Amino acid sequence: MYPYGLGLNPYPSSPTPSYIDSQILGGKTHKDAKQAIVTCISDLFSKLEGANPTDRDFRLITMIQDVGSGKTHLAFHIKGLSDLFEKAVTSYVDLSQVSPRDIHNIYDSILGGFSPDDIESLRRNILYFLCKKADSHGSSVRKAFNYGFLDSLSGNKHLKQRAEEILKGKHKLNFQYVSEVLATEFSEIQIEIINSLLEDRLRSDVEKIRSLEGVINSLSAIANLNLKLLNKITIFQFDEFDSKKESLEFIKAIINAHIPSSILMLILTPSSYDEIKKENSSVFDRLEKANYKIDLAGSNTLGELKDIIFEYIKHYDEKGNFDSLQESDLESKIKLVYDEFPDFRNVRSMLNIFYHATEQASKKGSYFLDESIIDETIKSIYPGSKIRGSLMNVPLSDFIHIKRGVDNTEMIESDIREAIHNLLTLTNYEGYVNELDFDNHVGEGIDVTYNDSYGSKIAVSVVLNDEPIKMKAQISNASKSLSIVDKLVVLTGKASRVLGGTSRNGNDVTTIVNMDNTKIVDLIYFNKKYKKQEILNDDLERAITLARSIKLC
Amino acid sequence: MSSEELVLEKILSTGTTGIKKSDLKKEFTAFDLDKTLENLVNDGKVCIDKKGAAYYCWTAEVYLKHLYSVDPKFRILIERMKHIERKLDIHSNSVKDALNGLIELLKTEGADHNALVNLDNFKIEFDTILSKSNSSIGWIELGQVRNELTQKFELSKNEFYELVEQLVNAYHNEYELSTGGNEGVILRGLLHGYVRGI
Repeated sequence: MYPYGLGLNPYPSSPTPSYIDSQILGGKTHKDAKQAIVTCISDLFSKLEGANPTDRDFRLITMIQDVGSGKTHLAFHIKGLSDLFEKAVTSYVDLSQVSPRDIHNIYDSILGGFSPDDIESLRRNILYFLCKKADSHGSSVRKAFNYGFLDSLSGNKHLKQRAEEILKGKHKLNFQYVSEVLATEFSEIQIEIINSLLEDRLRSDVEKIRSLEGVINSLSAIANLNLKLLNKITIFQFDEFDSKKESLEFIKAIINAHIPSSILMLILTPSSYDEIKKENSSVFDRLEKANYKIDLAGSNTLGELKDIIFEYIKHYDEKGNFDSLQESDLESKIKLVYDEFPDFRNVRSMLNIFYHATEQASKKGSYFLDESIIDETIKSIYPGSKIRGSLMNVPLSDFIHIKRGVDNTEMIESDIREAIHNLLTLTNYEGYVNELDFDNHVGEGIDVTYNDSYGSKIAVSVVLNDEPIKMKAQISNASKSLSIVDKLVVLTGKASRVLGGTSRNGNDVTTIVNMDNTKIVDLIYFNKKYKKQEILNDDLERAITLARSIKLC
Repeated sequence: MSSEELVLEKILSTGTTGIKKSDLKKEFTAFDLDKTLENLVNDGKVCIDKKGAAYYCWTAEVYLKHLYSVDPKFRILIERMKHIERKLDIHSNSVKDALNGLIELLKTEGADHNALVNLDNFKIEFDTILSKSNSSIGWIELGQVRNELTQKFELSKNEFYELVEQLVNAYHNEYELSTGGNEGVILRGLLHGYVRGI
């Protein structure tokens, strides 16, 4: 069993999307982008109803976003969208898999990019079309279907049945007569493609094409067949489009050809777009004039990632176990990972973490994805990762626990004071400071005094007041000690103006250290370990680094 | 060798003991020793003083050592002077330190002048450049932003990218970075050289 009562791990396990996973689409940005593409397809489709396609019936869509942000996922999603089954046939080509990028390989990949169902559907419709032609070309159709004398006795009654048998490979067509029947309505190149298609040698015939023009003509023919026989427009998706010369030449030719009843969708990164601009201004200018520029801006924001992560759970949560409480709990964990690990602010990385966390939870029999599971997951799949800015290597679970209380300064002030005392006791023990004095003899607001390694007398004041005026007053009071000590270190949790003071040797020596939340969590975590006498080896060095980072030694 | 050189060499060879003037007179008969010694004394090279019943000659430095060992008053004075000298050294070191501190301070002031760049005004200028970008897709090379920003602020490449990192972290819902380019911020081990506002 998986968390939230799910029967399977809802997240994709592979770094690139699979066709099945891509049927789940989460996130407002991605859904808006999908809607824009669907609108483009529907617009073109509606224009073609009852009309002959012309070169005006061509659309160019660009989808530009960084790696790992869901472009391929969206392209797959569009390809498999049930709403579009009646409107479009899609060929998806990953150009990174086409090598060398000559016209034959690219064309072969385009043919391979259509789904087997679409190819089968086209074959079936060609045969049904032939059956329909029996009224006007009865004899030729029957000959095309290789009817024998006995078959002919039944007239055209069993043609559809024969068509099914042909599809199953039980009978063969006589292409001499197929061409004869189709000649009035299809071009020579279309008839060649139909023949290849029916004989299941479409891809093996690729080598027969000798020029780029031949490829474009074939693609136009296929788009036309799709429209005429399936009543669908054709979408050519090119993923990983880059600035390689062969890709640019090919795409430029397709754009120039304005293949009727087709949509060219180019998927690329901002860096590729910029490189194309530098490499080939002619292609770049065409891309700039795309009908639709799909904007995935914000695809890696917290809100978007959260929606995507939820969408996967909801898709498989048939029993509705994932309620609003659990949603809110998981949201806080997503936010934490997002805030503290900038490296994971990306759809692909985040899904990877949640895939492994879900597996981990399942192994542990946990119904939830809790902090310790996410912590263990990050440690195991990204062993080098640590919380941003944390010096004490605080585990994520402890970090979450401590961070909850950090915003309440009243609650944590005494903890911080105690942590500073203990940190200085440790640094004293290690010989970095000496003559520690926790009894305030030097003035108001001073928590501790000590001598640093140079013999200078240092006073430390912890000021964690939420109210700026009170905080400044506290700092101002503490500054009075400068007539007795050499240096004053004020540890505060808020950014504030540096208030100078004058020490006994006449120098301006108030150091204000603004501790961010990570530093505060580090201090509290250190204190917790110190009290349990768990500061050993590496922790000791980390603690000294922590003391240095807040200017204590 | 001149008569002065001959006499000085002889005196030097006698070390802290010095040499009796009468012994010198016995040795150097070829010239007027009194006259030669007078010249050397006037030049500060030789000191003549009474030791016991006789007059002795020393070189100036050796004479001081002689006095230090035989004259308690002189010894006390020398110790006092050394003490003053040490104090002066300490003070001169303090002055040196103060001057170095001042130089450092001036350097920092200089740096602060450049870094009147704080995250807030960096953001304003950064946003202005992004908004002026003529890219139809909104993405702009960080290197280009740096070139434009360094005309306003004196920022090193590292300082610029540190600020970009801070900016993107602090306002992660306002910017996004993309891989590629020739310079930028490293995330997930990848160079992110493109930026745009969301």
